[in-house]
Amino acid sequence: MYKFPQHLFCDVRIETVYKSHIYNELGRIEEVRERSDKGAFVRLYDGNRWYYSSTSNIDEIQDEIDALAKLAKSSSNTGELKLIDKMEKSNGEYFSFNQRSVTNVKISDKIDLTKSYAKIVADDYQIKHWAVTYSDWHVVKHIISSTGTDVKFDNQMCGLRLDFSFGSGSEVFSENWPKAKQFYPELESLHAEAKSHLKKAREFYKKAERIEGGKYTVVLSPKAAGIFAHESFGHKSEADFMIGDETMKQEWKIGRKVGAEILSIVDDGLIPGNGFVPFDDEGNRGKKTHLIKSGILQGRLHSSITASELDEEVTGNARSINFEYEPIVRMTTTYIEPGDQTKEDLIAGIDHGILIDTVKHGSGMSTFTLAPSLAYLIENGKITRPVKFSVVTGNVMTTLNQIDGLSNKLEIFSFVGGGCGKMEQYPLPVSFGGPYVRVKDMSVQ
Amino acid sequence: MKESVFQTIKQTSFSILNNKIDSIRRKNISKTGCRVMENGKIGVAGAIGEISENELYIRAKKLLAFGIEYEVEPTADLTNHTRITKLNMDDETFVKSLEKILGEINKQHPDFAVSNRASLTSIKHSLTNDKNLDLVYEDCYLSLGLLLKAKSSANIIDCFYSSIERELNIDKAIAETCQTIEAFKNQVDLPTEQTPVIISQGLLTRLFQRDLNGKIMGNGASLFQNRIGEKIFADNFSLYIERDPLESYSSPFDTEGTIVSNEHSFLIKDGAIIRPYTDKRTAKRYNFDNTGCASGAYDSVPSLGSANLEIAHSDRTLKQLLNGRLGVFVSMASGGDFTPDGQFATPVQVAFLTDGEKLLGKLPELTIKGQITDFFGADFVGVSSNKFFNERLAVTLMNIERL
Repeated sequence: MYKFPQHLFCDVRIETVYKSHIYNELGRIEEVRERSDKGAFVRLYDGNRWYYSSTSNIDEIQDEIDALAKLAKSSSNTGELKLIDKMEKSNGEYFSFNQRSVTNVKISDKIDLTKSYAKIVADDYQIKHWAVTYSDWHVVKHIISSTGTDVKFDNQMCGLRLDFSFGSGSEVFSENWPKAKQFYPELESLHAEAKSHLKKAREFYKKAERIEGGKYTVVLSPKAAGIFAHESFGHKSEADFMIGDETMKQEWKIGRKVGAEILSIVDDGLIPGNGFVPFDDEGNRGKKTHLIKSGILQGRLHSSITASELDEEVTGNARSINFEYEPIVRMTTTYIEPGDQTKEDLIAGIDHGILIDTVKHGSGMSTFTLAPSLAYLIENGKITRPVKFSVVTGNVMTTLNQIDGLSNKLEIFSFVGGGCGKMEQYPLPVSFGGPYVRVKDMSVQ
Repeated sequence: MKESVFQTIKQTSFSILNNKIDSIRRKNISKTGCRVMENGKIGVAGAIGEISENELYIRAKKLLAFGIEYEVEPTADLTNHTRITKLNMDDETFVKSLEKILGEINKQHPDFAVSNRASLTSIKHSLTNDKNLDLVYEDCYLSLGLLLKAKSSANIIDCFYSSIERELNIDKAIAETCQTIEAFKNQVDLPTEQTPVIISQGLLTRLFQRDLNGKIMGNGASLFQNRIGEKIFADNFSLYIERDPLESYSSPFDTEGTIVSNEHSFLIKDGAIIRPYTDKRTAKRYNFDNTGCASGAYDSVPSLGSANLEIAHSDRTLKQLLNGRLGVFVSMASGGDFTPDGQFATPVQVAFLTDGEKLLGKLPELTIKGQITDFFGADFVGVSSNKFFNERLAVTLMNIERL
């Protein structure tokens, strides 16, 4: 298909992307966008440095390859590079969506879908502002390399987001209900769930009171636990930060104890949802990787580059946000594995604590943060009333060791609107989840 | 009525790994959009790469059938060509400059690793229509984002240096990065007396993005509802929309072609809220001034986005604002937020003690807290006239605690 230069590694990723987006604000359709684009990303490696090019002109891919080859230094031993050994040579066509692609759904149906969800909030006198957003994407990727990969596959997601604000002045409260699914019909019957969330948010708006900061035992909902797993530990499992760094290699040595014995964290690219990666952007198959198992560091996430540098195996985690960027190590679906207690058991053991139900955002370096939206006070083993505070925070490694209870049911979440950010690449679709997770001594501000 | 949007980006971007250039990425992407407006409705179509304008026009016209209301007049009879092309640097010169910066940092601080990215970017945006609108913005700039990590550290990042400029000042980049590393190595204690906080404006003005949004205010859901005209903040606190391309690195016009007057760019003046920020549709629907804050992609209906907010600068330097005191310079603060009633708290992962001219040492991890009407009210000191580490920073008093 392409004439790849000799003695250099080269691959091409062609993306054919369909996206649609509908924005219904206060009953007015403010945006209807349907986009079909095609673009390519070319990578070339001379054994010393990578050369990349992105283009929206598919007919000129060969020119891009030739231009990059001129920048590179020809290497006589590229064929012996460990990097190439690590890469899987995937071949074939793997289409999962064909007839059920969102490209086959009429735009007018998608508009009607937003209208059906708008009814939930439209006549609510306490809601001052609301919007329903529908968005979807379907992508076909074709990856061809100088070492024999030639794989074509597709992927898609579609979703809804209901945003609403109660009240005004200092009593204002905003919340949202976001949901993403792989297939359009799955979105057609979630009205009861949206209504239930709205009811919960209204209660919060009417009754939430500020609480004093301090140390609390905190129960994280599956959603909050998933964000915590992603932000606090998932990013540290991305192996690119270890390249050429002896301290990090020692610090993150497989087998080291990093958390409580009951804690296991997984990244799995094969779970349906935002984190579904049948093949990554180098053509490696998606996989399930245990990051922590029973408190012990068990694995990490790799691209071919990081796997070859650390002499480990690829994990299918080389991802880019679109054809304008190179694949880097990213998470897929990251979650905490469930334990053996019920949610009620977890809460029953707490005299004075907090349940965090929904989270506006989180971050995680050495210190992690979770900014709650819906949160509740736990008193004498019972959830008593909604409470508001700015942020819960703690040292990541300390907190991982303070987890002392996990409920027995795993829930995985996919959303539309936002995604994971890493350096310049934002937003990347990811999923996350977990059971209810109890953590001692978290700092509430 | 037809309106055409054209955007191009040419970029060479260098990723840096352990003080060396690890990869080179070239990008040359063009995006074209076409808007058709008829009878108070709008249809928009767009494409990446080569595309016939006529094909886009036909697609956009078809989308009128969805009935998207656009009951405002397109901008007419306006020509503005802003070309900021001061930078004249080719990729090879940039590589050499970057290698010099990385080499010198490594020479002075071999115990630190530098990584992340430097980019050389040229952009061109144009917006034209049948009513003699002819707007062009062209710019070229260098961005440097250096993540700094002690080789003995178990953190992914210890501190950073970033800049975006139209000429590369190699000596400044080396000096300020090395100063950051030197301060990082010198652990100091939090002063016992009350110490002003020196902080990026965007961290504290974030609440205004929501609560001065014209749609939020127009629908009665703002924290500042019914408080237009009321003096809520300090006399020396004014907030405006920064549209000067020299400062903002963005076009002087919004996606509707509005170039806002200086008068209408102010949202808060001398402590009093005077207007929310808007685009044309929001301004018309809720009877506010249009402040030129329409945004959206090349193929989107222009809609109210976020505002590039800037606090009016004082005439005093950071050193003068501190007035002989030391200050807590918040360098990295991630994960904090406001409560709906305006209470702000954030952990501060990296903070430095400064006299307003130099970084004196690294402070322990902190938490800062405050109420917006206090830190932009009685406790507000001002925004520096000079840039300190490439930013004009806000100085105010907040509650500071060790984490």
